[in-house]
Amino acid sequence: MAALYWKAWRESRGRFLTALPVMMAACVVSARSDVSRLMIFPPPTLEQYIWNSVYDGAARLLFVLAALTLGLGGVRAERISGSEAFTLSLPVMRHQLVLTRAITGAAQVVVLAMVPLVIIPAVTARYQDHVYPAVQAWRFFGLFAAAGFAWFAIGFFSSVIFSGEYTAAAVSLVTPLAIAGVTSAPGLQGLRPLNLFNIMSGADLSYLDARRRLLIAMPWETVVAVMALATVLLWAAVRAVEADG
Amino acid sequence: MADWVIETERLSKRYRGVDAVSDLTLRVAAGRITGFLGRNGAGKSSTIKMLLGIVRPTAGTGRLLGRRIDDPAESREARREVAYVHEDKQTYAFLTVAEMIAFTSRFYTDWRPEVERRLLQQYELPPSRKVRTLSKGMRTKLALLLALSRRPQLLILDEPSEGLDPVSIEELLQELRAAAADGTTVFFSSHQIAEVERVAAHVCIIDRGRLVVDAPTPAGLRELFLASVAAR
Amino acid sequence: MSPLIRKAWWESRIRFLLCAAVLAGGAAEFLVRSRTGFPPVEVPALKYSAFVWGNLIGNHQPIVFAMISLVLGLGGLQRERAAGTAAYTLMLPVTRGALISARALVGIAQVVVLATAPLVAVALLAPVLANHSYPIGQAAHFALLYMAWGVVFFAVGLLWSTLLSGTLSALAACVVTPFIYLILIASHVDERGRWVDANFATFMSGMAYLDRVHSGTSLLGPVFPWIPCAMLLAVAAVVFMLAVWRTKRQDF
Repeated sequence: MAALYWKAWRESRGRFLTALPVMMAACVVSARSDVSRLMIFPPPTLEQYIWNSVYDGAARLLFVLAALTLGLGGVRAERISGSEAFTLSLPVMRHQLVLTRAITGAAQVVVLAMVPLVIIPAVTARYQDHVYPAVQAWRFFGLFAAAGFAWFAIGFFSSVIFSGEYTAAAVSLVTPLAIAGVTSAPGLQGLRPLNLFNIMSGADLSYLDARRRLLIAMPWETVVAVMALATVLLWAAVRAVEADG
Repeated sequence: MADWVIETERLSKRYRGVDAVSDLTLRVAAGRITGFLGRNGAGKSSTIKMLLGIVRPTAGTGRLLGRRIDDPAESREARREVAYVHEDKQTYAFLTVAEMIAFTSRFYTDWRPEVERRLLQQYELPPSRKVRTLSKGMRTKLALLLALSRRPQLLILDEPSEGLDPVSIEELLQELRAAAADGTTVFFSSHQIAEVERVAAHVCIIDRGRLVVDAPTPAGLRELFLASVAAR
Repeated sequence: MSPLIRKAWWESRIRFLLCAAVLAGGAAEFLVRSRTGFPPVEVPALKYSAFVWGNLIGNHQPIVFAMISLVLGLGGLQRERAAGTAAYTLMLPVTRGALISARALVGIAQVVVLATAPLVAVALLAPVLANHSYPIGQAAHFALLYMAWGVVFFAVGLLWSTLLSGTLSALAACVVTPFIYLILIASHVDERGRWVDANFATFMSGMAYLDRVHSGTSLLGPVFPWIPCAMLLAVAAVVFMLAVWRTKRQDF
């Protein structure tokens, strides 16, 4: 099994090591910004600015896209390069192939989700007049990790269902648009709590203090529900690979 | 038409410190079938790719139908009159057999629809089937059809019989003889000595990137091949 | 149709049609919301043109379009090498420049369609479906802003596809490119700075060119950035030439 984890790491490390430094840089830039010089009136607080730029901003989108991309690949993609037969002939169960890839990818997503947790308090302590609250950073880490797991599972599921590597990628990358669009469609307001983007930042949801842009509490039920969704998608992917003739 | 369809002068190709082809000076005459023999990894495919402009030589020069292989414009002109079956035999997976044929035929003025129809029937290729669903043997046959449906000056084949059953191999060798009789020069690489013995009038043997034999096909080709690659 | 153009279309059509479907869906959803949810309860005085800008032009839309344009640039000979068809393609009696030019032509056409169609459709249909009007000239001008940067990002995606042999590596590079660019460039640009057009999000949303006299409308003012648009097309051309130069020197 260790060899399968090594294979999964080698296949995905390029994507992970591409996204990681960019995610770090985005957080550093936001945490270092002098919010008093922004041309916004009234000037935001540090917490409001961090929420706008990281947890509800470009860094969130980068994280989502990175999680989706990390889910791609797999046995179907190996068909293109011709190594599928070799991989499937290994003396391992198909579900082991899928699970090792899923676990490796999930771990990478968690590491990416930790980037704001590690960087923002540390950088604000150095460059701002006060430290971004650690409790907030931890709560957002929890939300990012859970939702990131779900985004990863969406990319993962796409890669199993669609044989064309660009088809799987395109479906994965447009899924966030589709989710955002559907959950904000008129008449479907009931679906708003399912908007993964909003779940990550708390936007329009009851667990965010909308004025101060701080999480009031950790929405454990939401976290569990999102993790369950991700688990179902990954289970479906495992079943699909096992059934693939 | 050049007397030599293929000429190389000290042609070399180095990949990351490894000499795939080294100082290769080769002449292939027009109007006959020439076999290009060598062990796996000897440099056959690299040589062919350099001739066709797919890979750039590290050193040396070459001409294909009298045109320089290192000049993109001349190479393109040469390729108009060359048909090539490459070692992978892969064509576009997202097209059907019929679409692949239609696409390829648009590029060549020497396309022969009657040969295309005959080969389509002979090879039993389903026109509406997507290429990605074809077996390896059928993909090989499709690649052969795309080359043989033309009347090129030069037909280059890289391991053409790989993936074919014995009956199909026999049919292929007959097609090569027919093409040569029709005026097409055939240059095919292989490590199947028996095939080369049966159809090639001339043989070039390459080993570790160097030409070791350039002679009319002898009766004891197998012994010659084994001796020439062992001697090094 | 030229067979190379047809080939480029075949190879990219799934990506293009998926993106087109999502953008069309977004435009359709917006039109429905225009009918039933405008003006928003929280901002009753919002102008319809500002509503259009906030939902279809500004905010996160530029980065989404940048991503789409980058992904449309993927594919090409490096991908064909992995699939085993590069030798067949390179054997065709066409230059490598012709191969990549065909991809570029198809891709640029796709970028133009995706930049134009949703906005123009909303401008044409809003009076009929939502009882609100949006000037089609404004839609066309905002589409031009999207096209200008969209073509640049497409060229960058094309360049990544020539530089990186792994399909997913090229995709990952495309995903991070807009963010790297924003981090490197945008922090040196403010909304009134000289290099404001270098911030693609600001440029595509037209923030520096909005009508200041009738603020609150989020409509473009009288001065349209034709020269910056032309410069962006020149940048795209340079990036494209780099991709061609690289492809001509590659071994497959």
